[in-house]
Amino acid sequence: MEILITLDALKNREGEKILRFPPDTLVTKEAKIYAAKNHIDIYIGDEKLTQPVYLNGKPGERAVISVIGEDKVGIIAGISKVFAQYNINILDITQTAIEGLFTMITVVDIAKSKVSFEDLKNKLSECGAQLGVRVDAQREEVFHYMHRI
Amino acid sequence: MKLTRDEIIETIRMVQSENLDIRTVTLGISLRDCAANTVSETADKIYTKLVTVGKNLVSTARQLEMEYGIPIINKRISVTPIAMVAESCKETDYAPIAKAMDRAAKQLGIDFIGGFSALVQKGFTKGDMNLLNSIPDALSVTERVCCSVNVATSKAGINMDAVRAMGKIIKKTASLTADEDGLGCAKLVVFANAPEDNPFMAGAFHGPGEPEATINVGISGPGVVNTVIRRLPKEADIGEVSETIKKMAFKITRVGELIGREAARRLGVPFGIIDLSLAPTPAVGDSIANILEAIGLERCGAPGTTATLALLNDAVKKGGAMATSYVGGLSGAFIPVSEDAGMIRAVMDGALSLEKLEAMTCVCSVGLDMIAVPGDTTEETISAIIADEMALGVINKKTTAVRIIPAPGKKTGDFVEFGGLLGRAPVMPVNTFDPSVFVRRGGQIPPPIQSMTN
Repeated sequence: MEILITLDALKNREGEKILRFPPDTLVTKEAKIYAAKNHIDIYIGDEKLTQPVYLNGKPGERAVISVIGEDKVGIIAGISKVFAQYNINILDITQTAIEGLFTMITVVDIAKSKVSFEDLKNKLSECGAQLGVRVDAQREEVFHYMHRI
Repeated sequence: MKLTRDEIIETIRMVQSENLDIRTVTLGISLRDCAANTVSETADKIYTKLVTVGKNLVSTARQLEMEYGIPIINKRISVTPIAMVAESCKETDYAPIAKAMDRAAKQLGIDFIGGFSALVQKGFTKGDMNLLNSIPDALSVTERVCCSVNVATSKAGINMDAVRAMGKIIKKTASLTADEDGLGCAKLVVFANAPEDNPFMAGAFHGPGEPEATINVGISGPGVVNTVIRRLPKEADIGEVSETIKKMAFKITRVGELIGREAARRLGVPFGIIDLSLAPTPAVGDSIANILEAIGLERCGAPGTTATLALLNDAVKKGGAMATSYVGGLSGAFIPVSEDAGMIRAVMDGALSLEKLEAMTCVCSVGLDMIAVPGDTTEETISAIIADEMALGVINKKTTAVRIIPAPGKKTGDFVEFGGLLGRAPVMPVNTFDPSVFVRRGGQIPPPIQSMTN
């Protein structure tokens, strides 16, 4: 009789997407995480085991784009064009140019983006290089994690 | 809640100009199912398991770096102490296992793999003895394998036979890697109270109480702390200094928490711990010594160094403890000499001695770390230095360690060059009075009265 279902019990039944165990069986944390990652449904008796909850949730759908460099005409126009091209919606935008140093912070919605995050980042960098500014794209969570409890 | 522009700019500045990064994402892998009757069979099983379980580590870490814009400097693997895994082999030379680990590390693109280790605080089994005997060869024929030996705990006392053996092993390792200034010794650490979930090298191993696999994260960020302290006015009260460090430690640790959780989720393994350590790099400004100097010392090593370091270490823990749910590993400021430009300068200026470093290790993690000493330092003296450091750990119930390089052919004032994260170290003078009668006595220093906590 198996009292504890560990990772090994799951690996031994590789290939099965639905696993059933008798009522009152305990499933370890490692096994739950492995099952969630490999899309395996575990049933204890008739009850389906819930997936582990992650505090950081799913990767968000918002990103922060920062542009830093020497001020000149056309920076916002150039960067916005990339957004429009890939179906990325601007949610918030602020910019300042103090003593010739230009900084722009944009929060964008990437849920309906036509390209992957990596491709978007590369396109923005290319565009930045043409404009002579540094462009970075980061998922918004990193800022929330750092500054909000 | 909406983010403010200043918060966003602060984060970007921390990464771009103050060297904020994640020092390491370390995947711990249990190798307990790799035991076999022969070394070659064990080595094959280990290689296969490592390249299977670790195959997505580097790509996942790169993906996280790209998406969150936080550099992850090292991707590492820690494994079950090899002395336990190889115990059932009939051969006595375990170097082929180290070679298999090295091959796997290169195949996966891992920077370091830790766990060529033994836990011998109370005595040796066959596997422990064979592992210790194999260390010098293993470290001279591999590049990325790291080795650690736990010779003392607060509960067991100090195994002086092991301490004596380590003096000999360190000298032998230095001589086998003499053409690289004794580089092998930079990958060899002797511990008291070694933690089982440490993500940092050279001491990382996947302890016997750990799960099948786990993600542990080591944070960094001395540059960030240094900058905020330098911005404080000189008259700021010491409580203000502590408060400033705490706030910054919180922010640094949160980034580690995010990366750790996300890496664990994407790899499908449990998230283990965050190691709340300020790990310096040889980059200018990314230095623990510079932080102590910013608090108000002319040079690191001046009187007041131990007190400022104690303040720093405590504030980092207090800030970090709230930022993460699982604290583990070494969790304290590191003071490796060769990896910290400020420490190197302090040694060269004559401000920082081996004895002061020993005092500093009482109030921080980890111990005498990355210290080069003259090549003619005797093995008994090295053993005695280890014994002193182990005593600090055992009595104070903390982790201490020794990573010392008796640089072949070098004398006080010369330099050894390792490159990369390991940096360069000035050769420091060592007290030359002879401790050999003490060291040769051997046996076990009994557990201290503090160990009787039940």
